[in-house]
Amino acid sequence: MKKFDIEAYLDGTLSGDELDAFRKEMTENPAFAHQVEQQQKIGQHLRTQLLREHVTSVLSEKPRTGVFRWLGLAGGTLLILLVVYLLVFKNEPPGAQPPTETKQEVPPLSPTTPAPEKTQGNPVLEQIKPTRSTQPIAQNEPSGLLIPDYPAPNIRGQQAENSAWQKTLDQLWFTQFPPQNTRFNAPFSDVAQLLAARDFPNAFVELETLEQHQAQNDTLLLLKAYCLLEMGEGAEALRYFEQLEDREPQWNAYLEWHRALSLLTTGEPKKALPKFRKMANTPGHPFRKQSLRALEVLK
Amino acid sequence: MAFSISILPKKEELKLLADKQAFYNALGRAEPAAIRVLAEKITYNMGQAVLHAALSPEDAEELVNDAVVITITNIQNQTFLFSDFSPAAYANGVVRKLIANRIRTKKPKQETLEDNRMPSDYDPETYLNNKELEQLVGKLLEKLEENCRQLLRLKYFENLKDKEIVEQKITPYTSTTSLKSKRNQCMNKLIELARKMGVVPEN
Repeated sequence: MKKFDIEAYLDGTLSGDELDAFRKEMTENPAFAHQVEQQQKIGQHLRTQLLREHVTSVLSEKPRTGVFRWLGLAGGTLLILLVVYLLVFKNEPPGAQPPTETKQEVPPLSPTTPAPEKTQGNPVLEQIKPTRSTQPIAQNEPSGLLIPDYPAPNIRGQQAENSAWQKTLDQLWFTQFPPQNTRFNAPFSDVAQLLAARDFPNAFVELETLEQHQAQNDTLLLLKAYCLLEMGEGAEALRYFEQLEDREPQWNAYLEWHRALSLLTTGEPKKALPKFRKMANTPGHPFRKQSLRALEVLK
Repeated sequence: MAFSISILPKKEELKLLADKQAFYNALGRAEPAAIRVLAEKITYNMGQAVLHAALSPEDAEELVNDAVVITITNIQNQTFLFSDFSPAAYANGVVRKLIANRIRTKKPKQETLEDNRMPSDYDPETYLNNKELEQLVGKLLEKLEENCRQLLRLKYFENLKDKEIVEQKITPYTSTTSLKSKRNQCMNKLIELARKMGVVPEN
């Protein structure tokens, strides 16, 4: 069988007899035509993606002029001084114990506890930010209250109003993945791993792909809902969570809590409050203590 | 790229601003200086539009990047041909359409929006759908061995001719035939992975 140069055809460098023969083969052989189409498609996607990566990398490295360089240096120095100040003075109780006794022992991480999320921001700023507890969540408070392990997702809207609301959400945010006693098998195991690792953008891409090729099912709905919630797409998450209502009794409590969180991310605390109240008033509800906390924070 | 911070142009960037044709050509070659100038121009002009659309700084940054990618792609495939206006004007048109598209995807479908007609040279919706597929292809490329990644990058990003690659000894291949053959194998591997992921249909 004659070998055709697909790459040359797509580059537009075939001519004369070669081009005629190529076209003839495409007309007579649908499998070959399909192969050409696939290569063209992948080539285009690849070209654009490589360009996008290049653009992103160019725009993320800001060229600095002399003035900016000096401003950056001055800013950096100020930040370092601020960190030193915070570390040395802020951790020390006023006029209390000697410095050697102020050092706090941090218990080791439990093997089951996910590592706290690393932000890609400035490490100096990370140190200033109050650090989240690295203890196993069940030991965080004597009452057994599970306190938020990760911050709430970024919410959209007006900047000033947002930052206050964001802080409120951070105080009560608690999500669970995977849901208790739930395991995800193929074809959902990969995406479940991404979600557990909190790699939401990639998980979302995987879920979109799965959605295109799988008949709709409850597992897919749950995974998509959770992913959307953690990406701050509360309204969309709610739409998915609501589709699961009453269909999977073992997930009811889980759905109830996460639906309430979805409402909060859409800026609808009034709708979320009755749900928190209901959970708080249900003895034995797995998210009862979280709900009590949420009610306290939202008061 | 910080959305609100303006970057002072360097000498080469100032030159690009003065010469539209040079700017256009440099964008076609995806030169960093040209990319920065274009991004700065778009960022400056889109501030108000973003405020009206209540988009976050992250959204705005993504829109700028998308508009730059679309503009360069359209220059490279000659959908956007040089005429006597700056490529920044074209890119700003792209941004406006992307913002309109972003607003529409965030609002209930029954709501009508002002001027949502698509320009003839690209369709933001298709662009956004393709964007996901492109990102997937990017991830699949990472699964190939380093040699393959380099060969595909040289062709699909650096746009180098096989003869140049061989002459400049960029790869271990000493003839264009062996280079082409290896690259074909790499492309086939990538297509196979893409098929498994559903990026391209099986048959």
